[in-house]
Amino acid sequence: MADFFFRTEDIRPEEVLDYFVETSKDRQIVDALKNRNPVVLVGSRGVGKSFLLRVAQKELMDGFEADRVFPIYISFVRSSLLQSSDPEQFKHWMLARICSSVMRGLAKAGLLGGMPKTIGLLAGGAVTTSIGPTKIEEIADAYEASWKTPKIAVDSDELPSIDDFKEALEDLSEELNISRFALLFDEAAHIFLPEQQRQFFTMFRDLRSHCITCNAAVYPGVTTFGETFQPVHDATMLTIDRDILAEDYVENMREIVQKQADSNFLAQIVQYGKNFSTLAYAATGNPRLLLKTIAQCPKVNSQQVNETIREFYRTDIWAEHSTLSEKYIGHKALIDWGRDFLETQVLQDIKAKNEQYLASDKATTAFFWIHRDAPELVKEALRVLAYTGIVIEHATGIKASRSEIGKRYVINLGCLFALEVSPTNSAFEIAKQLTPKRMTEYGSNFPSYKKLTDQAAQITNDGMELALDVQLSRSASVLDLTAWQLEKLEELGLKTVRDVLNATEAKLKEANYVGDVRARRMRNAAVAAVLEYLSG
Amino acid sequence: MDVVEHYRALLNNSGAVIETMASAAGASEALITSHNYLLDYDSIKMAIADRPEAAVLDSAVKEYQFALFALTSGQYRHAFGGLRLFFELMLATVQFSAHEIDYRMWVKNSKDINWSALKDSQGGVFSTNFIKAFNPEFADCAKQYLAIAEAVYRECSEFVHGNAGTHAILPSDIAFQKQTFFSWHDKAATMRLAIIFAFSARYLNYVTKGATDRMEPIILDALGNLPPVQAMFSQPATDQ
Repeated sequence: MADFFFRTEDIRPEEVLDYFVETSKDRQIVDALKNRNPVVLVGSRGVGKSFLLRVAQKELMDGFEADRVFPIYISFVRSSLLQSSDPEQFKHWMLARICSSVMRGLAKAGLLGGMPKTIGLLAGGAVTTSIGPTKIEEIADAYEASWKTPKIAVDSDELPSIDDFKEALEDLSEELNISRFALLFDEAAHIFLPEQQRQFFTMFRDLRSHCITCNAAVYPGVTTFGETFQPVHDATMLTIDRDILAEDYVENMREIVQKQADSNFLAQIVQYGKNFSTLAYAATGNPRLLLKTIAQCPKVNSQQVNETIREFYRTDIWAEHSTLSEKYIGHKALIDWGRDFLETQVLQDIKAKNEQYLASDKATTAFFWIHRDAPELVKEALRVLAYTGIVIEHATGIKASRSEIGKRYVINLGCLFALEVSPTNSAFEIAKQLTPKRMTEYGSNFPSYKKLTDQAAQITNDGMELALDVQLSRSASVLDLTAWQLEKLEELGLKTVRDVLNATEAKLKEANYVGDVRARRMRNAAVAAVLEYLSG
Repeated sequence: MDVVEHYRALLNNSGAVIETMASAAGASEALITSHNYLLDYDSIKMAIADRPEAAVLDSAVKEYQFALFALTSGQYRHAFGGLRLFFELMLATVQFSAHEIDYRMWVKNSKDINWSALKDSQGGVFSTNFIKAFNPEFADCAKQYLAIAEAVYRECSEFVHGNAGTHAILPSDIAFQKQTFFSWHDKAATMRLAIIFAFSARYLNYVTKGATDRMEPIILDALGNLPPVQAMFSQPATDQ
């Protein structure tokens, strides 16, 4: 399998521009991120949100000397792992994270000197150091101490307020001649934790100041904005979508692959241009999907491409969607219904129509439409599908038959192609004649919805903590360990996954014949079991 | 001739060097950045403070500061020499952690720190054996960091050994030399990468949660593109 970067995290931030294929839409987004107005960037997994944030960061840093706008990239990817009953903790966690990122950024750029805590600075006789802790460091320490000890009640009067934080940044900007800080939040709000979404956007709004611009990347399902934040008004909402109907679509997707492929691969792509186009259309504008599938077709010949499309878009792409329902038990009914609705209804309807259209040489479709009065649960199920990138919201407020209003979606083309007997023969024909004018309509009371609405009572929002708790309470025997190791756990009285996770390695080593390596392996198994449910 | 006065005059020249530096574009930033690496080494030190070899790290960072001081006062050859010594002592800290007897003998002056042992491909701190013993996930990436360490050590050695090329580059008196100044910072940055790798591979599996949390941003910044590092820091964050 060819070696491609699927995720922005694997690319060193300073090298990110080497992989950037600039479309006019991407340029617009990067410029908006660099601009003074706050931006919320919306897109499914793998469409390139992190990548564009990194590009904006790099460009701002490169131009810092002239423009004095200082970029700070902050990832909240671990926020879902923070379990706390106190809503204030999440806010403090976010603020601590921002403070330390600001300080690290300034220290690394050589704008702010730091004071080590335990290393003695050179000093002799009358020489004492003039480097002391800054106000922002003190604020960071206070927040840090607060979120790490959730059981101790926090006297909020003692803690710095958001205004203190803003003031500290204003002081810094004046001192360092920085015109403003551009904060770039990645993985900003967790899709299944509306409370975190609310808190994030409230903070986003509260941080507004002449010397701070907030920008955030979120998933399409993030829709809880809290009381103070008003989308459109408080931030420009931008969607990343590579228009599959655009003339240069395949060309752009090819360039993304070219940045990473070797000459041999490039030669294959040229030779099997149509097969490559089929894969590019199948990815429906999502670079990660394209890179993952092309990596499985090093020869780019029809046999490999057909096999990959069938396997990837019939099975692999759904795997991530389906694991969501295991992770978030409260949403299981919703997630599973979404898959069922797409597979048994939407895809079949669209396929049947395309067969007719192609036979009579008419334009084809990959679009469907849902009435705006459809049950909220149905819309929620579609939001989850948009999160994993299986559907993409194409346009809102679209008039359908009898002037009814609703939302138009485009289905991932790969899923549609995977239904073809030989995708390399027929898929390209479907892709190049697509028109949004042809869409399958599902009204406000479409019969399939009932299966979902009947299960409404089972759908809850607190599934996340529940899932974690269920996982932690399972018997330690589910861990991937040898019988001998499990016996040792028993000896030590560690009965559940939680016990093993909480045990220190020293504790594990109390058992006979358990040394460093085995202790580590036993604990790793517990961590892996929990992660399996949490990482996503 | 007043010898004391002569050296006083040289010290005054050092003062002029730092003033010229302060007005050169980007020079103060480069100095502050290199100074701030002390913060990273500080976090590493806190993580291993209870271990005997932490004392070697203390000596190392002291030498780092002397090297920075030599750099700012225009004594470039000594600045590179000091930087190389710092690098050796840092890596020796890691080496000693696995061979306490060597550390005890070193303290008693009966053993030297030796670069060829540190970089040895069988038992050195970047060797597969060494890393597999403490953190097997890091073993695959070690080779490239060994190559970095060897290269930067060799470049500094050229100054220590007085290779002809270095005589041509360095000023013959005490004066600010922009190119050499920035080249020192490049080397300090490269060493930081190799050092953070060596410490992460050796200690990360064995330090407290608090220490790991403290080191997280540092390690992600230096090594965040390595898969084992990403895997490590996607583990659950707990409230404790």
